[in-house]
Amino acid sequence: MLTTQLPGFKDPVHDAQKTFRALLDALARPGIQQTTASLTPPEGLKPSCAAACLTLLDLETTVWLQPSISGSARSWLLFHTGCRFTADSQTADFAVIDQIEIMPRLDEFNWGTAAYPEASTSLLIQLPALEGTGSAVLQGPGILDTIALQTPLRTPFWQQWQAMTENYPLGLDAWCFADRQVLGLPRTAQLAGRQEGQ
Amino acid sequence: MTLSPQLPSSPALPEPGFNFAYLDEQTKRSIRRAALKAVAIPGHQIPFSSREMPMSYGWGTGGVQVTASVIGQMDTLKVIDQGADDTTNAVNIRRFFRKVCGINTTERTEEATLIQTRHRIPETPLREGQIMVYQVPMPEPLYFIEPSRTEANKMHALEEYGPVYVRLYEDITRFGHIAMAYDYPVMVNDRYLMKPSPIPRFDNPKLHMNPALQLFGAGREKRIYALPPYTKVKSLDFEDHPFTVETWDQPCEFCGATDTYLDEVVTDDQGSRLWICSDTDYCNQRQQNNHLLTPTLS
Repeated sequence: MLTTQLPGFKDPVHDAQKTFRALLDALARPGIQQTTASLTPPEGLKPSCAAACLTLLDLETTVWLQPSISGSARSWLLFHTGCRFTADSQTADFAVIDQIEIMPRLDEFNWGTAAYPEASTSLLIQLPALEGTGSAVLQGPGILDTIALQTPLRTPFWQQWQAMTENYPLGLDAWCFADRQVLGLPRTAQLAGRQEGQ
Repeated sequence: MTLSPQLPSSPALPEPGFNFAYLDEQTKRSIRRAALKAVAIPGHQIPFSSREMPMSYGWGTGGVQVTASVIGQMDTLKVIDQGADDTTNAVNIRRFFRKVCGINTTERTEEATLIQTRHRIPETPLREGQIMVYQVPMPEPLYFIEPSRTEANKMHALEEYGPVYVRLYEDITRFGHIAMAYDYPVMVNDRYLMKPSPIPRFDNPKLHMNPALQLFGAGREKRIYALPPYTKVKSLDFEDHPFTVETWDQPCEFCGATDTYLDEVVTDDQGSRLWICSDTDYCNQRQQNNHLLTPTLS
């Protein structure tokens, strides 16, 4: 059956570079929003998340998609990156999540090993917006003193995150995406204190 | 030595026949994934598939590959070799990136968005948004104790860093002080032991809580590691032998600076020598400013 795919980056070289710098800056400065290159994403992917996928994924990467993500997003990723898909979240290099409420627990992903903590899964979390009512105060490398976040990530997520950071250097690194914005959450970002959001 | 003229820095069209920044996109992606992991685990070495570059190992192939994966059209690149903008390695790498990227280059630290360095950190304080790329010959601080990479990884996993302190202690028993002058080991974020590349001990304090992102690339050893901005970096020492940096009895011969890292220059065969700033950009700017100040001072 012949299917047509939406195009990827308009300028594959420079758009990928621009998106990489946004992802790099996001991880180097947790809690500070960065802007990726723009593109027309397939149904089910935010523009910034789609840009990150084109920047990071290729034949060498294994990807876990949350089952709620549409088939068109899946075939778009396959067409543009040639990545491999897995149904086992433990074996994924990258995991794309679009419904935070029903995502697997953080410890169901790969946290790496003591000698090779870099063998862990990176989470690409799509949110309706980066601003929300869930509060968290983060500290760690990349953060001068502390930084306060107001995101849709809520208490259950931050409880799991805190439990995860106690296992450093094992753990997950995450990026949160909404529209063309990205927010980085490296495993070094620890909760300094948390207020209940409503 | 006199004031070196500013090199032309206007962008040119990249050389046809190369991808932007020389590396192919597949290679860039793999290096970028390694760099992102490196930032997430400060001080931990990430293996990467280092490529053959059009220069030999030891000439900064690791740094060049990191720079090529990070650099974009909007970047302004500065390259230094032992602090100098006008030495062979620095000139060649700067010209290489002008050729394959057509980007702006500069000698001024404050104008640069991306600084590739061999063995120095500029005297001018770095700022947020700048990226430093270090050329690293040997990334593994445990190599002289444990040549096996697998075993060294286990030692890092177990934080088994005692033998490094023994090495420093042996210096104290032999010389009365820690005699390591460059590539002085540091502890990153209270977790990973890291080699800061062969920068002089003088530059170690600049690693700590630096506002710039610092990336380290070792081409032959195929490792990338990183220090995110505002990361705790502590030079190893003992309570009764605290870490110290080098000091000099005389100021820089050219600019009179007393707070910079000085190079010794032998001027004849009679044993005469003078001491000058190793950071040529900083020294030149000070000389220009001193020159402007002279009329009002005299």
